[in-house]
Amino acid sequence: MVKLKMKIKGATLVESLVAMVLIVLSLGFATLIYSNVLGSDHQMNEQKAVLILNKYAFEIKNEKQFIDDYLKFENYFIEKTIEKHPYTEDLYFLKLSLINMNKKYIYTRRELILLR
Amino acid sequence: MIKAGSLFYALIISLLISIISSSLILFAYLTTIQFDNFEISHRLKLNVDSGLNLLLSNQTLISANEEKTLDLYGQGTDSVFLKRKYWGGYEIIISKALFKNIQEIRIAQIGIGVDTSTSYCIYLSDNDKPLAVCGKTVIKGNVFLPKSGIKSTFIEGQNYSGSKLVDGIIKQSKKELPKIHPGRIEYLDNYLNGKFKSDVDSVINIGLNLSGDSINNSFINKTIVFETGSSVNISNGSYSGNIIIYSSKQIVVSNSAIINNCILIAPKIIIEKQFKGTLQAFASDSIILKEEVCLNFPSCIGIIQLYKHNIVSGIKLSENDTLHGNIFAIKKIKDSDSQIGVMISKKSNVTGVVYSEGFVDLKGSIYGTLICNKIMLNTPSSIYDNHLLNAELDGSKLSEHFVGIDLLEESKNRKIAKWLN
Repeated sequence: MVKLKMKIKGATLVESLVAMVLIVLSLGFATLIYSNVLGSDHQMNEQKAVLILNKYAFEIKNEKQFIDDYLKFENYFIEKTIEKHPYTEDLYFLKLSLINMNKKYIYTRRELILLR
Repeated sequence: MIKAGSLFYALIISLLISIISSSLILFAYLTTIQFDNFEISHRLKLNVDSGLNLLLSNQTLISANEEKTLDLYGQGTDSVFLKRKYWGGYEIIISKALFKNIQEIRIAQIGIGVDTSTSYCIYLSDNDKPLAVCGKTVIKGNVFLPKSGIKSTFIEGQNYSGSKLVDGIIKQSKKELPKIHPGRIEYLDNYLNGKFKSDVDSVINIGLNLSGDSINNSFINKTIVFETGSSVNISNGSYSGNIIIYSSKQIVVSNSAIINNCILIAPKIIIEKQFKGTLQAFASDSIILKEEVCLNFPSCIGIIQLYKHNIVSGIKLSENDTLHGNIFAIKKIKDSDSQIGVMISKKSNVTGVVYSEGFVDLKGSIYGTLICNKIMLNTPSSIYDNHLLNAELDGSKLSEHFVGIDLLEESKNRKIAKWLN
C-alpha cells in the first residue's frame, strides 16, 4: 500500500455547510433577480405598443380613416374609437388601444384631433 | 499542500453572484426609469399637441386673452395649461403640459388659412361703376365685381393687351364689403389708443432712439412694451419676439434694425429703404414703406382711421417693396369727408390679403386677394375710378398654406402661421 506523503487539510463540517448555504442563497437570489429582469419585458411590450400605435395614428390621419374599427395587427388587436368633443364643432377624441391575444389591454393612446 | 478552505471559495463565488445580481437590478431599474420617462414624455407631447388642436378648433372653452388649465380626458391624468393672446392681427396660442420635472411646451402664431374652394382674387363692392382694365393688366382667379361688370379701356396711350379680361368666374358683389370682426377692430383700436398694456406687461420708457439692444423675449414671458411720448428712431439693434414698441407721435425704422415678430404702434410709421424683417405695424394716420423694403411672412400692416380730422389716411408701398402677409385700412368713423386707402407702387408685390374700406391704387401686383370699396388709378394727367393699368392680381400664386390675419367675420379655418419660442 502506498502511503500518501502529501497532507490534505479538509474543511470542517460547519465550514462546508456555511459555504453550501451561501452558494444556495446567492444562486437563489440571482435566479429570482434574473427571472424578474426577464419578466420586465412588459415594458418592452408597452414601448412596442407605443410605437405601433403612433405609426397607426399617423396612417389614420394621413388617410383620413376616421371611423371606429377593430383590426388584427401582427400578434395584436388594435381598437380604434373616434368621438366628437362635446364643446367644439371640429374637434374629436381619437382613442387607440393595443390588445394582446389574451384580450389584455397593453397600451391606450389618447389624442384630440381636428377634422375639417 | 493544498488548503481546502471551502468557505473562502464560497464567499468569492457569492461575491461574484452578488455583483452580477446587483448589475441586473441596476439595469432593470435604469430601464424602468428610462421607459417611464419615455412614456411620460410621449404622453406630454400628445397632450400639448391635443391642447393646441383644442385652441385651433372653433371652441368656446377658452376666450381670447384668457388662460386655463384643462383636464383633456376627464380622468385627472392629462392636464394642460392653455393660453390665448391677441398679437396684432394674429393670435398667440400656448399649450403647456408638466409632470414632475418633465415639461413640454408649444407656442404658435395662428391666423386664418386659405379656403381654396371659396377664395377669390378681387372683391370690389358694387358702387354702380364697372371695373375697367387696360395695359398689361392680369386678373387670374374668381372675382366679385359690381353688377355693371368689367370692361377694357384705353388710358395713357395704352389699350388692354390681354385676351381674357378675367381668367376665372365672375360673381356679383354686394354694396358692402365682407364684414370685419367687431371684436378685432375694438382690439386694434385699443392698440392705437395706447390701451393695450396690461398689468402683467413690463413697460419701459424710452427716449428718441431705440438702438444698440439685442433683445429676444419669449412669448411665455411678460410682454416688453417700449413706450415713448415723442418720435422714436429704431436702428442698430435686434428686437425679437414678445415686444411692443409704442410711440404717441411717430416711429421710424432704419434698415440697420433687426425686427422679428414685434409690434409697432404709432400714428405715423415710416420704414426706411431696404429694411428687411417680420413685423406688424399699426397706425391711425399713415404707414410708409420706402423703396426695396421686404416684410417677410407673417407680417401685417394696418391702419385704422380714428378721427374725423384725418383728411386722408393711408398705407404706401413704394417701388420694389415686398410684403408677405396682410394689409388693411379701416375707417372707424363712417363719413364721406375723410378718405382712407392703400397705394401699391410699380414693381412692388403683396402676397396675401389687402383689405381697404376706402380706395386701392394698385400699380404693382397682388398674389392673393384684394377686397376694397374702390380701385383708384392716379396718373400724372388724371385720376380714374375703378381702373387698373398694368396691374397684376393673381389668386393662384397664393400658397394654399398661407395664413392671414383673423379679420373677416366669415373666417373660421384657424391655422398655424409660425412656430415661436
